[in-house]
Amino acid sequence: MREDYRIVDELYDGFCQRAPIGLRTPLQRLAHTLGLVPSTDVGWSEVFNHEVTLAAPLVLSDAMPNVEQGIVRDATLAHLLAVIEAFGTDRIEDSQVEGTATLRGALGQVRAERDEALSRVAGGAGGPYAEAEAETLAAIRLEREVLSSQSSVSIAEYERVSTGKQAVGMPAALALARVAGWAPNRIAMLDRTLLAIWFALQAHDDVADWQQDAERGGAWAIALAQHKSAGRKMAVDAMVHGSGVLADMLRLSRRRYRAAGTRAAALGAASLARWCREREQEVGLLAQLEGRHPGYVIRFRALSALEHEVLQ
Amino acid sequence: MQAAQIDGTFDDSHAQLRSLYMTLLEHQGRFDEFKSILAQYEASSDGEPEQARQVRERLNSRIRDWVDGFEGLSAQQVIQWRGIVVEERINVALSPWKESNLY
Repeated sequence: MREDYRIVDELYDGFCQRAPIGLRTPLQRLAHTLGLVPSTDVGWSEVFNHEVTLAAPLVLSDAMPNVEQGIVRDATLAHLLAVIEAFGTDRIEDSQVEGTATLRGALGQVRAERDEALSRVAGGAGGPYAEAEAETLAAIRLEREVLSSQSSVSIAEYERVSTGKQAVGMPAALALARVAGWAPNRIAMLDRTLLAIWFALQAHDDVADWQQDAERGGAWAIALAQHKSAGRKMAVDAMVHGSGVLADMLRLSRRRYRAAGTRAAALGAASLARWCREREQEVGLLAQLEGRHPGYVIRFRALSALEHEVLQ
Repeated sequence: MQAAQIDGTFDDSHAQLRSLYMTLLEHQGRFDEFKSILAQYEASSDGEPEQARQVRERLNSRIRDWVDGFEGLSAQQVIQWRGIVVEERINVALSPWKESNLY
């Protein structure tokens, strides 16, 4: 994450300090409790690689110069807490972490602060997070159902279900656009832009993590490969790599970044547009390499710790 | 390091490691075999046992089939690569969350 977006750590620390005393330590350790970092002293800015993930409203704010910085900070706080809460819920739903009373209490505090922050942005209007949470949770459960059934899935169905999981990534940024006085058509365009970005990130992640996802009960790459292989029986790795679905998913991710970048530029969101173009190029290159050398993505990940030493 | 760079040693060994890295990235079969042999390497705090030395020699011999003129991985390098590729000890520390660090 770029240095100027590390404000997310400052915002999260402030939230922890305002929380009830009994929840401060669980909140400070939340990333570690969720299995996202190896120690308790790693800030959220180091958990995620891309500033857009936790700080989308801040990244967008260059297209909204008329909005006060305090409002941008509140929107960013609401967004980062929404993302953190969604990860926590997903990890509990996925049985990757135990949903202890302490953890649920901490996530409840995250939700409360998220809603308050969004309310400050929206001028006291009720926050839409409950609806977004419900949509995300329904999509997560549908995903589990589809993947555990081991049925084949088309890429259109994959995109539909996966996009549903991204609902919590929208409210804060959209609220900020309303504060900026954007017309409904521009807000609708922003909505499509963000959905494309969240899906593009998700698709890339579903490629990189497909083996771990498979161990946990199901992976989209397998369901898509089954669809493409028309039921032919073969070993899972050979089917996934041989079918070319990983490259297909990366190409889809690249197309979504391209669409998002075009829209972001049209909206005057220069930082976001630039970030989308960078991602488009990176994912496009990876798609080419995966297409040329099936399994490249997985091997790249396995060897990533050697990358700096070997390639510098 | 400066002296090594001047006489070319650093550049050669670095280029060899890069070639190894690239061939492992581009060939699943080679990656699988590399990982399988690495998994058989058992280091000791008292230096390199004979059995481990034989495994390392076998590994280096195989790498020479893939990378022309490869001088060989040292015991220390084999331990490092084993930690990363087999034990997944280093690169998983900050990687299991739902956002990729790949390109």
